[in-house]
Amino acid sequence: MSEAAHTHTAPGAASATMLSVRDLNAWYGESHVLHGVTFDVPPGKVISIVGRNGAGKTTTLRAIVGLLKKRTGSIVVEGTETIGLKPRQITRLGIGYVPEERGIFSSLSVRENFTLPRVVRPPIMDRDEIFTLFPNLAHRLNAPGTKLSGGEQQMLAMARILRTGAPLLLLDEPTEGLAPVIIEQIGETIRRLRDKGFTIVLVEQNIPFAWSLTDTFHVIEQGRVVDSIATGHGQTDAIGRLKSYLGV
Amino acid sequence: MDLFDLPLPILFGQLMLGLLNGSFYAMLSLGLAVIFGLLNIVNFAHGAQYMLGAFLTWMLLTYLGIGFWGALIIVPIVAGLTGMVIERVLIAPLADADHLYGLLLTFGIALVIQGGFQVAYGAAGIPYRIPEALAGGQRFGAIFLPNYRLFVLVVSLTVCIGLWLAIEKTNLGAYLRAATENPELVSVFGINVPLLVSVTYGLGAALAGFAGVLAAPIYSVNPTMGVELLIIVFAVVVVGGMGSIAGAVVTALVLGLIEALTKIVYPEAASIVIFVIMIIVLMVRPTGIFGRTA
Repeated sequence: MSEAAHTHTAPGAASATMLSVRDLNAWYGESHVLHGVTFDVPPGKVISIVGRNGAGKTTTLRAIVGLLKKRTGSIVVEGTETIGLKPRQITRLGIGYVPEERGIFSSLSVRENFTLPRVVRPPIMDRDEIFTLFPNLAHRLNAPGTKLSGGEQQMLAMARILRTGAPLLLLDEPTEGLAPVIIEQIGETIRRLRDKGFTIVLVEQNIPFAWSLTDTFHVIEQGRVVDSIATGHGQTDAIGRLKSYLGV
Repeated sequence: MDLFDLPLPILFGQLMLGLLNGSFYAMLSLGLAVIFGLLNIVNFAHGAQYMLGAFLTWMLLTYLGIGFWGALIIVPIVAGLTGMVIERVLIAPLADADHLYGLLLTFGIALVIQGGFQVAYGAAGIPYRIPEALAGGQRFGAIFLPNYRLFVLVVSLTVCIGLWLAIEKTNLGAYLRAATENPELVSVFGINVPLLVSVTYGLGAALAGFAGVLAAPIYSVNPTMGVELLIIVFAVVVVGGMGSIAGAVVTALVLGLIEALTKIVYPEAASIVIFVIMIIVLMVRPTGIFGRTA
């Protein structure tokens, strides 16, 4: 497989799946938290995983990157089975992960946070492009990571994985706790990334935010996917359906 | 007694001794703080690794005819590699268990090493000569500074500052700091955290061994030399703040000085002053002077 072949996949152009999760079961210690999660992520698409608190959204992302020790089932990343791999081996296959709470290291400067994740592919966006996307970060490189505002931390968390060249981005609630104007910026950023050909798995509670970005919603309840809803034409009742799942 | 009534040479001599002890505290507490930060274990084997360093220095000379300078290079390497093996074989399997197990394990390792050396070499101290090139001293008026002690001071501070810079300014240091905060996320970012942990533990052990080499010509080489020092070093780390590297070094030097000055003013209190300070710090600021509040 040539590396160039999948770094610039146009949205919807390729038929193979970027990420395929089959019958994923996972445990936190003794407690069984995922009960057969199954979904596919086609290249260049934005998939949103929604569900109530504790339904298993964050856990699904954590299981994909290997942070749950006990997992069964199948997680295939561009043709490579990852269920038996360690986190560092999994993300090297081309996954960029933005955790819940953003995971900015407080003892590292913005620059160090930015350069920490290892580069896994030739970059899709170079440094200048990344800082054009997140202009706030460019002149705060020497600041400690935690001196940034919540929005800036979210941008840094995204910027540092864009630097790795990973074509598949897992974003865990990127809008959580942010002001509406910042949420708008994050939405605009995700839209641009989608247009660039990135494949994105979004965990979101904010349906109105996710709606315009998402190609397909997967609803998770009690550790399994209970419904999948494609956006687009003729789906006028879809928002209502999603909201009823979330109880909002 | 008033400090300033003392003859200058005595005051100066004590300050020098305080800095010297402080520099040993610094080397050991630096390693201890880094290991605690990353592995979350209180490394009770640290004193044994220091003692091992001093004994290896003596053994290299006695059995192989390799002198101080050779030991200064060989011993840290041996200590570091031994440390990495200990981490991989004994400590790593306990990584997911309660941190108390790590503490008990390293305490056990310390007892085994110390006991073994006691059986083999007895409890009495073995002298080790100051290297030829560093014999003698410098005289400044009434003040006499032994060359070897100056050398130890300069070398240990250089090593501490060098390590601090390496941790604060290099990529490897950034990995170390990041893994200290959130090892899971660092592993997701493609970094081999278990290897980083082994290397860090090995570096801590190497630094303890290095301190042991430097200590051999000053303190007598004996199996319990590590225990005595380690108790003080624990207090230093607690005062400075667990996991704070610069804090550990600065605290070590300051406490070394305070200890030495107490020896002049009220000698009876010299052996407990550090622990009194530790208790006060724990009451007023439990995270230590330089510790980060969680």
